[in-house]
Amino acid sequence: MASLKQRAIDVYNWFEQRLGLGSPAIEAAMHEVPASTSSWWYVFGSAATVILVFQVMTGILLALVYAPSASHAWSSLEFLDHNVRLGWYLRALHGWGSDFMVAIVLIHLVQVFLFGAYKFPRELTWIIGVFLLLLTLGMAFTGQVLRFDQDAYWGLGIGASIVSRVPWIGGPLVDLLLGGPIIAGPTLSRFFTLHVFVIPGILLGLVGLHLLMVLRLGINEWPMPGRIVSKKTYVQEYHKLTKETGIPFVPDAAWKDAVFAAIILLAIMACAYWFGPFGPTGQPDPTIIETAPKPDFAFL
Amino acid sequence: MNPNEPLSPGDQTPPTQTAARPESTASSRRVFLFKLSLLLNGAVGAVLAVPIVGYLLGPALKKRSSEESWIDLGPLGNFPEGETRLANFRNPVTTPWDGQTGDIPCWVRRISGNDFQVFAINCAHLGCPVRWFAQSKLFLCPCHGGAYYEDGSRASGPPERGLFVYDHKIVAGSLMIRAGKMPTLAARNCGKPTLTQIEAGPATTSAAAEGSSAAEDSATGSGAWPA
Repeated sequence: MASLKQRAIDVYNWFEQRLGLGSPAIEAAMHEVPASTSSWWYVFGSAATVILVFQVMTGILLALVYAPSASHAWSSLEFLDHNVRLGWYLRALHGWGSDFMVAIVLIHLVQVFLFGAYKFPRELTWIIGVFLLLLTLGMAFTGQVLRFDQDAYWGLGIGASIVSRVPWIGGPLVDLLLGGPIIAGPTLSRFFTLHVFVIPGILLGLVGLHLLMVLRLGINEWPMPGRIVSKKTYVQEYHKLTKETGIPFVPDAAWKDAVFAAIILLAIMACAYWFGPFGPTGQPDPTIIETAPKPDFAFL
Repeated sequence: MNPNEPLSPGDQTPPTQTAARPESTASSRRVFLFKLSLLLNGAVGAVLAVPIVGYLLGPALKKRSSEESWIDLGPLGNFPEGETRLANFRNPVTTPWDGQTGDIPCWVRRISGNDFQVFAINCAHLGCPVRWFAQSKLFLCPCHGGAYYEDGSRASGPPERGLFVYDHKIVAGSLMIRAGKMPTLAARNCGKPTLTQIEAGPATTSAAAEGSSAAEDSATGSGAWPA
């Protein structure tokens, strides 16, 4: 057995010699963080990242079957729900994952705001975080459009009507949003592009940047009433605090993140199992006017 | 063996460091060539951007006239006088993969004889499908409670104007409308007479003109409000 272990180490070293990714990754994982950050209040950011990965995975699986065409999208969802083994469950996982992601990102934002973690030197981390929230909402909206049903159709009409109010360029903006004169095939194609390529690309890039900055600047310490953040002394004080009370992020602080992420994933799986997928509601046929379009919860 | 150890001493040492030569003409020529290469790529990028931006802006650069055309809604007999009926048409501009989304509904109101009004289905507020309630003589929107009188003028709710109206004409006993584009508040739609703004106000004048049909329908109240 010992030789097997030795061979595994040799294989690792062979790759590590060429890639050199292992040691910086281990170093980053085990970097010292103030002991006060090992708290259940600090688990939302990592949970949001875990759900993002989960959404990418379930999204790829759905794309194996989904037909991004106005005439077939709705029936391909019906097919997923009724004819593909566990297709309904994958749709439910992706839909509930979306709701959980919006909720967790919002909770993360509230926590960061209440803890004053947006202050110097983490202002840019916060600003990027706000864009990440907007991108998350963008994913939720474009995802709702891909569920090409009545709500999606009239939701697009609402989007076009809102955009049409932009002064001067409202008209061209509506054309760009719809990809043509009416809500139709080209509209779904461009929302598919946004949902699958454009927004996730930007989202993943900015999440990487956001994480890099968290590593570079350190996780903000537990706030104290009356303690003012001074640009002159803060960095020094933070380093002193980390030195005095520091604990390695992995494993001393990260186990809470891991437990919370597992609970959230379990909650998504349970909701998906018991409540099932969202829609699709009626077919995207505008001549069926006996409908009361309702947006997903994030856009109510 | 230490994984952090470089494969061979020469591999990871940049040649410029070992050379340690002073600023020479060769180096300044290289710097110049590098700057030139940046400039070249900038120029290529700018040229490449023209077709890409043109492709992206394509839908917004289309002329309105190419998207709208006259569409036959059927013989006049389909629209009884004094009534407002739903009519569907296939949008003149479609793609083969549009499916049902290429079918567009509209409300046709035949006031009397050849006197018509054709309203877009989309609420002037946020584009939801308005429904006609004959008993209460109102168009109501299910989304945010926008309400319009029978002549399309605004009655109440969030819409800031009346319903969008299609241009219409009668050709050989058939009702034709000029359509092809989703009506929105965007300037291009409002500025043209095809989708005129109807001043808000009571619909008494047109209701009085209808005479008997108005009296017929006014018997019932507003029981048809959607659930």
